[in-house]
Amino acid sequence: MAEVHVIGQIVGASEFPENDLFCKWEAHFGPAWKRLEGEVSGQTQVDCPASGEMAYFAHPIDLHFATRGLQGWPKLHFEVFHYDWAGRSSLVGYGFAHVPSQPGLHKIDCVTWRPTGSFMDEVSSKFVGGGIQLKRPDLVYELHDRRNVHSTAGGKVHLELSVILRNFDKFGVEC
Amino acid sequence: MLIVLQEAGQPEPEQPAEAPDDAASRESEKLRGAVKTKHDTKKRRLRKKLNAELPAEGELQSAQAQVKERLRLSREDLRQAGGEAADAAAAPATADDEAAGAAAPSTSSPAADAAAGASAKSATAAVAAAGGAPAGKPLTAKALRRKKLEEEQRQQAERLREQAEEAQMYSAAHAALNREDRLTRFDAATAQELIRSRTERMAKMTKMSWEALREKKELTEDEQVSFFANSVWEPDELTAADGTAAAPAAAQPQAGADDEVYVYEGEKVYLHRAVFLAKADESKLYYYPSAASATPVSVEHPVNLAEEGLYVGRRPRVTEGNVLRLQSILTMKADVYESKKGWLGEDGRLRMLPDPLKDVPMRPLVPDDDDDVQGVQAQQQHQEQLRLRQLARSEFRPARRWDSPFASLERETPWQLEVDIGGVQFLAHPLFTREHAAVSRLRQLHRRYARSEKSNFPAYFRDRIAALRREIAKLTQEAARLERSQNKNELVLQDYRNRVDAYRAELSTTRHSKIREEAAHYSLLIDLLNAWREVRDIRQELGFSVTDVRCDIEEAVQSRSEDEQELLAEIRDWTEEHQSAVQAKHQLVQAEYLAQRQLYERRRADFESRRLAMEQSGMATGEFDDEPPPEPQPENVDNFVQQIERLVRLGEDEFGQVTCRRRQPGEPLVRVRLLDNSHVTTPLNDIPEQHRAAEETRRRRMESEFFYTIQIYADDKLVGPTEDVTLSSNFALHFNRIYLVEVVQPPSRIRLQLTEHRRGGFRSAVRTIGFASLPRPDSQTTRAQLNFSEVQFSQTGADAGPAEYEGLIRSRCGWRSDSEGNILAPMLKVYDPQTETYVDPTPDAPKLPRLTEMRDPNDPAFVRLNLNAALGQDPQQQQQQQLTGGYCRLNFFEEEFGFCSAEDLDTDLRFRALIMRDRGDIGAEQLKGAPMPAFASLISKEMVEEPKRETDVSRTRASELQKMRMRYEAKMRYVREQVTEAFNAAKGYRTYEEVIDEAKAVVVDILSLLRPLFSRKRPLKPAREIVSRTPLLSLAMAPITLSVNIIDAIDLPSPNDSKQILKPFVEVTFQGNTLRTATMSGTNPDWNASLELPFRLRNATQKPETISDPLVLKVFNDRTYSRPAEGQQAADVGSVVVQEKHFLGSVSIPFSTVYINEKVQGRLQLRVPDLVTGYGGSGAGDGAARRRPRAPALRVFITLQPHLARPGLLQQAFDTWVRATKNTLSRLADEVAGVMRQMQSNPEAQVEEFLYHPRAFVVSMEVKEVFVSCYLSPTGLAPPAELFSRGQEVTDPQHKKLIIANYVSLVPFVSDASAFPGLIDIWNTCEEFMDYQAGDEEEHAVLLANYLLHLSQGTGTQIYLALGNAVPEGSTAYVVEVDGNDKYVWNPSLGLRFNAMGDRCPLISIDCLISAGGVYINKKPFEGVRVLNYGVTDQNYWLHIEKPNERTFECIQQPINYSGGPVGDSDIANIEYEIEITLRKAISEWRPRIVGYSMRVGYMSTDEILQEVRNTKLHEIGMYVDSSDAVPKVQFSCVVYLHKYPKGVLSIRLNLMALNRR
Repeated sequence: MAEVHVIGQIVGASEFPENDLFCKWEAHFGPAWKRLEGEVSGQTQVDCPASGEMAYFAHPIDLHFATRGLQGWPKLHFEVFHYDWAGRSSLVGYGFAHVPSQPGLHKIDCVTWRPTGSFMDEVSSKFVGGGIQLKRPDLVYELHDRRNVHSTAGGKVHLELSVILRNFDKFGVEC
Repeated sequence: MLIVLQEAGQPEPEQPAEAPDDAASRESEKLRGAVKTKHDTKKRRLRKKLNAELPAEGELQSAQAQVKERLRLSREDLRQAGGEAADAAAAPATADDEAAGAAAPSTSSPAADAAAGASAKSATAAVAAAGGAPAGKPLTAKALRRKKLEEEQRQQAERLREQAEEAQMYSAAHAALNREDRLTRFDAATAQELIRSRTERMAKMTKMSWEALREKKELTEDEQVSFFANSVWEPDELTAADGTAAAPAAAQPQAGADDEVYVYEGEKVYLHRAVFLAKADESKLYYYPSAASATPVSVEHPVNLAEEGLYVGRRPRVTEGNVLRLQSILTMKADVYESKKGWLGEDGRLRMLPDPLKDVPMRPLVPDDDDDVQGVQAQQQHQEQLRLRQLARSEFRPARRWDSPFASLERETPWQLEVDIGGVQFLAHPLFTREHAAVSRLRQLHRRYARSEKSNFPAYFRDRIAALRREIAKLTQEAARLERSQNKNELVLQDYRNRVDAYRAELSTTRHSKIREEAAHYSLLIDLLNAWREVRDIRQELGFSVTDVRCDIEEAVQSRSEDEQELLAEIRDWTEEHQSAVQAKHQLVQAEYLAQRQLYERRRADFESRRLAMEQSGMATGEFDDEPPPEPQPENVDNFVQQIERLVRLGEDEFGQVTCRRRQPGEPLVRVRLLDNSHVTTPLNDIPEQHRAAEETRRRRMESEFFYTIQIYADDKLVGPTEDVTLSSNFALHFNRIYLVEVVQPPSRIRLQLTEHRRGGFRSAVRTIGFASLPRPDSQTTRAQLNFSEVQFSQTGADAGPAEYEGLIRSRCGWRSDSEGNILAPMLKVYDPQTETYVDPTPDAPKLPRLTEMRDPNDPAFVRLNLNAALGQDPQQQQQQQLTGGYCRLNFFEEEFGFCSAEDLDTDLRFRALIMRDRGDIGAEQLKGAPMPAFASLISKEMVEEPKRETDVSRTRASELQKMRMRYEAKMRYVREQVTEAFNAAKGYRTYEEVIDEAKAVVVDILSLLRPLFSRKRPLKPAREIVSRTPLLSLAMAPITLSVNIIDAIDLPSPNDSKQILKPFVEVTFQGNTLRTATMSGTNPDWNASLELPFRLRNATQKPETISDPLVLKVFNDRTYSRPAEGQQAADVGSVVVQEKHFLGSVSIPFSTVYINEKVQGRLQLRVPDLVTGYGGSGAGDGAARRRPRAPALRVFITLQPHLARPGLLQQAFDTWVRATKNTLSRLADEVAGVMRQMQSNPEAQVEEFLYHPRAFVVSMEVKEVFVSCYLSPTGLAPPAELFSRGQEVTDPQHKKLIIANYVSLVPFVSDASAFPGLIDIWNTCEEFMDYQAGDEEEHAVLLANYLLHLSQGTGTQIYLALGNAVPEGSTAYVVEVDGNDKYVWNPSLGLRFNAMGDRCPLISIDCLISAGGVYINKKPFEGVRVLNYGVTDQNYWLHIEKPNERTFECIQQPINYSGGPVGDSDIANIEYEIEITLRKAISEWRPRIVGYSMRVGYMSTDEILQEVRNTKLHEIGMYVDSSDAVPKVQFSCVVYLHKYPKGVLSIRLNLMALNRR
């Protein structure tokens, strides 16, 4: 009956081809985990930085879990979208990051990738915008079939997470 | 060994002791010469000894070499000594030589003797001895050097040396054992010796030292402790303990420094020797195990265990060289390893545990598709890439392929399953008539009967009995023959007997089961006949038949005598068998008895002879007191025969109970056949009775209205519904279709779901009435190979009664085979227990060994198969079962990996509290402002308890009626929960406008700027001030008052006593606070009073709309009169003034009405008792005359101060949500929304009264949106005929309407809106309304409208359901009746009719009128009821939304079944009694009076009636006497009358009277 608090924020996203970004996130955890408080998913606002390359979200994450095992340690899954001038949003990156298991403040850079299509797809997304997306985003964190996806690297999502653990030592888990 | 060493050491110190003596006394030259000669002689002696005494074996080479080396060394020493002219140097050398010389021979021989012929051992012993002996050398050198300086200390030094030598010897042995690295430099044999010497020496040392220590007696405590603690003494401790030995020992390293022998304490012996050895021939000294093939250790008879079938397992891989080396060691040192014979197994090979590692990884790598591409043709490569690209864009296959029990799932065409659905036979159905039910029972019985008939058990038993008897006879004969024969074999005979016994036992059981079986068949037959008789009775009773089943009964007449004879034969046979069995048993027992008897006789004879002998010798004797064994009596079979006879004839068991009754002799043999389609069904026209015919027609119509479909699910995925099928005449559904199901992954099962829907009603009336589950066929089974299986289903109704639907589904499911006969089923994979995976079956792959082929049951590879064998199952079959999930694999999600169980997580108080806080169920007030406690122990259980539902007080003694109410409440609760869910979802739903606050484009409105210029400077009419509304948040802070303005009243009843003047006043009660107005006079008083009642919320979070306290306005007559005083004070006062409040009428307004409508304004009709004694009549007139012409009314204006914001947003949000998500009837919804917009764009439409938006869609009990018009039937619903035939037949339509309105108003009023007052109404259909006996204004209105529609059929009267605003209800539903120019408004919940144009009309505005054809939306609701004057065809006033002529918009009303009801006559009496008793008790409690009332109320609960009565304040009569002496002499009378209307509607009439004796 150990508990984990994950408190922090999605600081922003950088190194993406475009600057006007927003990001959807979702926390995933195993069946042994139980969410006590906090939202497990959300979406940031769109940040259109006037200067600089990085989009800042400062989107809060505040989760409180109870767990009865280490399996299925929570991870955060991100989908970064580009919001273009025409009001369309197109995907620029998928990624996921494990919540650190060490208590304390962590700065995490979650690298992302996006699926690439055929040459024509790329050309059309270059000029028309948009691009291909995954039908099932759970592919991002379920690693079974990743190998089949042609992908290219995206930018990074920056996280600052404070992890607070409770009662893990009772069960012989040293943190 | 120790002794040897001592012997070797003893002479040694003496030698140098002599030598220095000589050297001291003689000249140095002489000394040198002497030393030389001595040296020579010693050398010679040594050589001689070596040659003579040392054994010639090769093993002793090392010892010789050592001795030679020693000689060489001593020579060198000599040379050195000579060179330095150190006289003394010779002495140690000599001593050394001597010691070496002495040591080698002296030790070798005793050791050799002791080893008793083991030559190798003697060699090692020699080595060990040689190692021990030279240890003296450095000491000697040191001592000599010292002696040279201090001669007098020599004697002492010698003694010390002797001791130190011993210590060194010990420590050397000890160190040798401790340091294995050093040990390796010696061979193991030496180590053995050393160990032995060490142990011996240790024992001695321990003892010795202990004694020495004890003698010392000056040990400190620490020393003692450490002495005991260290059982093994360290060498330095030893030396330290010796004390004096410490100094020489410490000096030894220096001594060793100039020698090449590196010596330090503890190890010097070894190193010293090692150096010698190194200089000797090491290659010979050391033993290197050879990698070349050595002679294997011979085992007498090596066996191949594997060949013998024993499991040896896989040996770990060891290189050949290592094996040979090991063998070599074992061979060479065979004597050492004599005891280690266990190293080698029976097969002559080294014993090794089987390899613990699997030779395959647990999860084999999945071959990568991409890799496969390579090396294939370019064309294929291209295709592969295309495929991959497609995959990248689409969903990927799940990667768990290798765990699937099926092989080769990828295929262009999917596998095909055939589901063959034969049909459904209902065994119970709501449309079953009695006859149907009986027929269904008959059918089921017949099915069993036919099965039993088909099995033809009498023949079976007959044959079996005959066979057994035959066998017994044969065996008995055989046994008899054998017994007679000369050479009889006892064993064979015994075997025969045993077999006969077994057969006899079986025969007996067979006979029993025959009788049982026959009896079962007989009783089945009887049941069947009874069932048929029941069917026939029903048909006769009704006079017609609806089923076409006929029973064909064949009776074969049997002659009684034949039957009797058969019976007798059976009894005879049975008896015979039993007798022979008993005889056989008796013979056995008899034989045993004889044997025992013989024994007894012999013992007795023995005893007698002994006794005789003793008596002769004059000793006392006893009697032989053993009893002879009892002689067995043959069992009496008479009793048994009687039993048999009873059983066979009468079916009685031994207790006289008839358990298996069979056909009696002479009874005819009956066979029953059921004939379907025998055309016994009566045509409808022939049904004799009219109402039966109607009912039957209706039933048949309904029968044809129901449609049935079977949905086929493959693993919960709907793969196709069957077509609609109607019921056949005998309640069967004939599908007879084969449905093809294409699957990629074989489903684990096929589920069939039988659903029913009605053609007439909504599609929403689809009900699932049954399930059947078909197992997945195995991959070799086609459909044709299977037989139909029948699966029974049953579905109970709403209340857990008998099954509503019950039936059998006939179906089968198999794989399809294509035209070539290939089965289109995936192959089952083969489970490989070694790799724990499924592998594709390949034709040449070796199949798993069957159990018989297996070699060794201990082989872990076969464990599973063995287990199966132990269970007695075929391994192959079992293996298939395993495929379905029986295999074991470590599951990382198993419980044991968790810290705690899932329940612990769920039950933890703190976690629950946290979750509730997250949901918002726990707020600050539960936590009292404190943060959430950190430990579960600090959290009280009450906090995390779910909010309790209100408990039913009446649950304890719930009558049928109350149970029904409870069911209704449960259902409403469910509906409310659903709605709440919808609300919660709606809360999250935001429209674009709500989220985005778009600033409007600035339009400079010039006119508005100019307007002030032209407006009047001094407005004559003050501008209306907008009342600001307080948001709900500040509700808890600000004091809120309920402002009640009572303006006037009209038509109050006047007292009958004309002298009296009515002095009315009004009392207002809300939340326990009561205020009253002043007393006015006259029947039309004018109070103009403003009363302010405080308004409290029970807690901060309570929403105002959930306050259920009503605001009650009561009108009383303040009657004050004086009367002569009684009692002792009469003289003083003369008369007393009596003040009494006489109740005239009341009106109750729910708070939510005030809150939601913001105000209640208008004339409220007072609810007056039917009869107020003393008022409103002409005194003693008859009852009818007392009816007042006009009901009294009260004009009020009630509002909240300050105004609260209306919770209107929620409604809108809900609407929006419903529209957006459910998207049901979009076209109509759009139309309605258009009208709404149109009206909102009309500024006039936004009047304040316009609150109740015309809702074209309402929520039904199924939480579905239903168009309101669907609630009205075009032809209306027939009211119960009973209403009009009470007493004399009522024919007057107006009277009928009143009766109906009265009836409807008596149905209890239960607001279903208490969860969402005024916001969400759940609209029940009339049937539901009447069934549950609860509903609010819509239900009443709908029912009334339907009744009135029915009554006004044919007349020109139009009936509408009106939604609008009324006083005091606020938004409500009324019924509008338009009869030509007369327009009436019906209040359905009060049952009152008002003239729409009259001043009493409570309906203020109409939002819409609803007819069965559609909705008329009022475009000008502010016009009030006057809009009725303009007909609904007037486009200016009414907007007509027609009901679409679609199936989904059909009327949902069902005819109401009035027959029966939850209230029985006994219940009536009970309720009546209960109310009367309660009232009596209550009034006597409240206080004693004289006014009487007659009231009529509907029955809801006694509490409400109490409230009603209490409102009259009857009990206060006579209380307000201004003299304390006035003992009220008031008597009360109370009469309760309960009348039962159809469908359990109850009317209660209360007559209350208070008699005040003056």
